[in-house]
Amino acid sequence: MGKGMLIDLTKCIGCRGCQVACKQWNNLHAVDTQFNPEFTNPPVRTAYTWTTVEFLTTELNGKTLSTFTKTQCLHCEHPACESVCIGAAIKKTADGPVIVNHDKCIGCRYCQVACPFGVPKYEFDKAVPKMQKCTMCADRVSAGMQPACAATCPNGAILFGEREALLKTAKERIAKGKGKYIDHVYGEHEVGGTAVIYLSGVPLEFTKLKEDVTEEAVPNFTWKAMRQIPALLGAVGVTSLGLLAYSNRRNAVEAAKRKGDDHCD
Amino acid sequence: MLVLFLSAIGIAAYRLFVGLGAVTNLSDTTPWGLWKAWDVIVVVPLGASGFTMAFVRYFLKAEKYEHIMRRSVIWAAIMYLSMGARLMFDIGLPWRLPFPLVFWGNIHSALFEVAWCVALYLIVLFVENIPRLTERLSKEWAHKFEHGIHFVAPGFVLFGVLLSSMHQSSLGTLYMIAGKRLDALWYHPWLNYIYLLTAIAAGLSVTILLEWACSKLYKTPFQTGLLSKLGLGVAAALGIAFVWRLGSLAVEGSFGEIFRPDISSYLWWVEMLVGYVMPLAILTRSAWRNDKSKLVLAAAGVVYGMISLRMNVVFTGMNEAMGASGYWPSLTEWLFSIGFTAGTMVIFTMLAEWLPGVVGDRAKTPSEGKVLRMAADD
Repeated sequence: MGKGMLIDLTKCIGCRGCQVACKQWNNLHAVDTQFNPEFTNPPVRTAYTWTTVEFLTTELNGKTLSTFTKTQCLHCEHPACESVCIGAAIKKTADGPVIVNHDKCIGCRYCQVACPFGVPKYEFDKAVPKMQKCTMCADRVSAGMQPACAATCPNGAILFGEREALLKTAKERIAKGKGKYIDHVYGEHEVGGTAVIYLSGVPLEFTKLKEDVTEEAVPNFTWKAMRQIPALLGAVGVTSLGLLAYSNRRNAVEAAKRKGDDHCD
Repeated sequence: MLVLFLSAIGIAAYRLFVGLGAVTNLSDTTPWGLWKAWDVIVVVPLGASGFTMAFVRYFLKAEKYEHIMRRSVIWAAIMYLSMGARLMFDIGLPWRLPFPLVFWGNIHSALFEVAWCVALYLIVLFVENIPRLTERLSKEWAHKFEHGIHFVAPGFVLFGVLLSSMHQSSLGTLYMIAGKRLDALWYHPWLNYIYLLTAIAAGLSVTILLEWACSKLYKTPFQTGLLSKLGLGVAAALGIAFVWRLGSLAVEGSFGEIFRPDISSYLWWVEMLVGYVMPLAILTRSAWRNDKSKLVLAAAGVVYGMISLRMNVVFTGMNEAMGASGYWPSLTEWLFSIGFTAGTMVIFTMLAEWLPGVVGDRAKTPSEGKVLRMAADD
C-alpha cells in the first residue's frame, strides 16, 4: 500500500509553518494578500499556494470555537483527476502521491471540474501555464524523507507513513481519546478513500473539511457510462443496418410495384 | 459579421501571448467558461445535423432529402472545423493538442474519447463532402473519383453515425464525473444518453432552421412536407429525453427542487417550457407540424433547449459545487465567441452558394448558369 499523511486537527495550533515549508521546498513565490476577516492567509489556495491552514470561528455550546484545518491535495486512492485527464498527465504513483506531469498536460482544465475538493489550480496568469497541486513532496518521499509540511510541524499534527498504519494509529487515538475525538476518520471512506486522512475533535461542520462528499470512488461515475459504449455502438450499428435492409427491400418492392403498374397501362 | 470575425481572430492571436487570465474571466472556480461551454460543448451538437441527415438519407433511403442532407453535412463540417479551431485557443497549451491523441492517451477519460471521435468524424465529414467538390469540377477523373466515393459512402455514413453517437453522448459523460455535485435540477444518472437524444433532436432541428434560413436568403421553396417528417423524429428523441429527465427527477426524489424560488429553477422552467413542452406540443399535432412557421418555431425551441441544457450544466448547475462567485464572460470572451460564430456563418454561406445542389431550387444566378453550360458542353 501507498504512503499517506494523518492530520490530527486537535494538535494543530494554526502556526502556518506547513505553508511556509511548502513554499520553500517547492519554490513557490509569495502572493500579495490583504487583511481579511477570516484569518486564513493567503485566503485561497492557488497555483502558488498549495496548502493553507483554514481558520474557522464558530460557536459550540455557547462558547466561541476556533478551528484550524490544514487543507491540500488529499491524494485520493482512486483520483478523479487521474481518471479524467485526457493526456494521462496525472498519475497516482505506487508510493501514494498523485502528481501532474507538466510535459504531458495540454491545459484543458478538466481535472479542475472533476476534483471534488477543488485541488488542482491553474496558472491563468501565464502564457505557458501549468496545472499545479500538492505533490505530497513526491521527490522527498522517493528519497526516503517525509513531506516538507510534516517535517516542519512543531506540534506533530502531521504524521507521515504507510496509509494502513496511519489508519490504525487514528483508530487507536479515537479509542484511547475518551471523547477527545469524534468517531470518524475523515478520508477512510470519503471518495473511496484518500491517502491523507484527518482526525477531528469537533463535528465536521465546525471544520473546513468537506462534509457532503460521496463514498463511491469518483472515477466510477463516468466509467459506468463509458463501459456501455460497446453496447451503444452495437445497438446503433444494428439499428442502422437493419433500417438500411428494410429501406432497400421497401424500395425494391415499390419499384417492382411501379413496374407492374406500368405494365398494366 | 466580417468585422466581428476579424476581431475574434485578433483576440485569439493576442491570447497566445498573454495567456488565458488576461483575456478571460476564468478562474480556479470557473475553469470552463464561455469558450468551452459555447464554442465546444454547444457547437458540436449544433453540427449534429450532419450525422442525423446522413442517416435519414442513406439508411432510410430517402433520396428526396438529398439537397437538405448536402446542406446539413456541409454545415456540420464547418461547425466541427470551427469548433476545433476555437478549442485550440481555450486549452492552455494549444500546440500540444494533438499529442495525447497520438502519443499518450488515457482511455478512461471521456474527453479523450470525445477528442478521438471528433478527429475521426472530421475525416468522415470531409469524405461525405468530396462529391460536392468533384461535381463542381466536372472533369473525367473527378467523375470517376466521385463514383468511387458513392460506392463507399454508406460505409462512411455508418462510421460517422457510430462516431457521433459516441462523442455526442460522451459530451454528457464529461459532467457525470461531478456526480451529485451537479445541481439536482440537471443531475441525471445517464446524462450521456440525454445529451445524445437532445443532440439528435437538435441536429434535425438545425436542419429545419437551415432550410428556413435558405428559403429566406435565397428565395427557395420551404419544403414543409419533407421537414415535418423530420419533425416526427425530433418529437421522438425529444419526447424520450423529456420523460426520462422528469422521471429521473421523481426517482431521485428531487422533484420538489423545481419549485425552489431561485434563479436556477427559473432557468430550468424556461428550458423545459421552451425547449421541450412547446416543441412537443407543436410536433405531435399533424396540423401544427405541417404549418411552416409553427414548425420553425418548434425547431428553434428545441435548439434553445439543447443550448440551455448544456449551458446550465456547465454554469448554473456547477456554480455552488465549484464555489464559483459570479462568473460573467469578459468582453473579449464575448467577442471571441460571437465573432467566431459569425465567421462560421460567413464561411457556410460562401460554401453553400459555391457548391452545387446545396441551396436548392431557385432562380438561377449567373454563376450557376455557367456551371450548367459547362455541364452541357461535356
